[in-house]
Amino acid sequence: MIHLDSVSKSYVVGGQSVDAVKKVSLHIGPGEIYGIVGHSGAGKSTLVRLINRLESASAGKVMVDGVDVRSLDGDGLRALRQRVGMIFQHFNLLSSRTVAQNIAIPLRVAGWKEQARIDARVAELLALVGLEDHRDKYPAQLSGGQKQRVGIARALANRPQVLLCDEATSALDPQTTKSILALLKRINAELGITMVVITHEMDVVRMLCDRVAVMDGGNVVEEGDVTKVFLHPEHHTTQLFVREAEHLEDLEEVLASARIKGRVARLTFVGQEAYAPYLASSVREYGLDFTILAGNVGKIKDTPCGQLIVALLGETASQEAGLEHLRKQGVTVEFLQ
Amino acid sequence: MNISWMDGLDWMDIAKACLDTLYMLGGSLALTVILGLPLGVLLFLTSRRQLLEQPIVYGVLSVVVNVLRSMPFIILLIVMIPLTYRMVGSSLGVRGAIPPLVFAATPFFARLVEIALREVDRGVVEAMQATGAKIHQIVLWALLPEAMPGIIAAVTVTAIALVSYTAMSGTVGGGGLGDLAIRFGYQRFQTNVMVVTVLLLIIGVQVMQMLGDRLVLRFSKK
Ligand SMILES: Nc1ncnc2c1ncn2[C@@H]1O[C@H](COP(=O)(O)OP(=O)(O)O)[C@@H](O)[C@H]1O
Ligand SMILES: [Mg+2]
Repeated sequence: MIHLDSVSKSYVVGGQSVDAVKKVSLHIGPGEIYGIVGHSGAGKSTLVRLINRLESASAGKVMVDGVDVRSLDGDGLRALRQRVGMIFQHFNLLSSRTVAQNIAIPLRVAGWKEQARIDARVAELLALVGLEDHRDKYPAQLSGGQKQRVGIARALANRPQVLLCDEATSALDPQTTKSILALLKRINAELGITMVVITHEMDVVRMLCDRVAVMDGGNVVEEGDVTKVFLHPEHHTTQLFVREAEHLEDLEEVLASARIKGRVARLTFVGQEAYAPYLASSVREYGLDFTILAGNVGKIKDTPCGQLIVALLGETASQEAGLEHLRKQGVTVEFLQ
Repeated sequence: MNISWMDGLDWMDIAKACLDTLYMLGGSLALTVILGLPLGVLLFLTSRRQLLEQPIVYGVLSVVVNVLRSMPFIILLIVMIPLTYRMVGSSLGVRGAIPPLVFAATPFFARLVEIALREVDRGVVEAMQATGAKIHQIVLWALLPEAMPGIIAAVTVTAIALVSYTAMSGTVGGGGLGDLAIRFGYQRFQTNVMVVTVLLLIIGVQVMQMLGDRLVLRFSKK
């Protein structure tokens, strides 16, 4: 659905060129929820704005649903933008217009004239985002979560194939964030819209995305399925993000203060084995002995998964036998020390 | 009642002067808004980092606006006499006063409109662009409605500036309250006429400010 090929974007600021996005290539399939995670200033917003050409790329190729975005003229670009919705961190609603009028804007842009038809579509959208009772309110009378729901309804008005979300939950509290993420997930499932989700919070990626790209300094430093990136992060930036999300920022400190001498392993369980009693059987049957240093069991999107960081005790032979048993059951074993 | 204080106060004259002032004010304000609003929008759109960024167009417009604004009104009034004559067939009276008033107030108002538009959140314009809106749709559906409180405040300030300009245009035979104050109050030493006209002007300005503030509140949805 979206193909970026060696796309770059540089800005000239005070005579100096700043490379905000450097030769990024990404391929996002139809119906996918694709996350782009990175620290502030990594180039995420710039990258996503190349997709609907709110920014023009300096080099490379941007294709959306078979259309070469960089070669579009004014009419072509406006047509593309009607097929690519966008929501924003600060919602960007018209404060002088009611909820219904805000949602109707894209319809009027698309040339809808008949008020009854507009009203009917607006009512559908209000029902979709659960704001039926707020039709005639002004944005200032709504909570942050409700404002973002208006933003979502507005973005979906023309039934786009793509929804771009730039830090859509970053201004919201955790509870509201969850409800907005659930709404986006439902919309993706019901309408099959491709979503590009920009965030600096790994938790958003964990709950919502199928695949993720990690950005740092304008580059995509790591990319892949969310479970893979979460459970086996390779790049340093990714590791920091993942640890932050799992509240393991201080793992080194834990290892140092526990004065562990022997080996430390990270055991990763994915899918149903996250709930299976393999660990217990390796203890019982192979004499594996260990201390749990850290761990968590949860879900990545809809996949159950768990990770334990354990300090291995006892003889090497029984350690190896126990670990081999775990590997056979599909558990990934990595040594941290 | 102190009758002597009322000596030589011709209420018919004063009423006519009031009407003249209202006519000059209404006419010039209407024309100023009609001309100044598009000029303000153009200034805003062509300025740096805006939708129609055009440094040269903006530079030229900006200089013209600044020159007109820095010209003292009394000088503009005199310089414009031939042009006024050609435009409305007279450089005197209420009709003759309107062109210089519009000339003086339009750049002022346009600049205030530009400032009001600058106050509109960039994100809102971006959201409009992201829907595929054309520039005129962004202006009519987003920029102007969002800036409406600021624009109404700009109309109020401009109207009040125009009141003092109409008083001045009295000196070149413009008519209205200013003319009355000069002819009777200054040239014939009828202080009471001067006091009454000034009081009327003060009341007029107060009423306009109150009306303006009310409207601003009514249009603010933030
Ligand atoms: N309009 C602009 N002009 C100049 N520099 C910009 C502009 N927009 C972004 N940048 C720069 O590009 C880099 C990436 O910014 P951005 O894409 O907003 O990052 P993120 O969304 O990941 O926080 C930053 O260094 C930022 O300063
Ligand atoms: Mg950003």
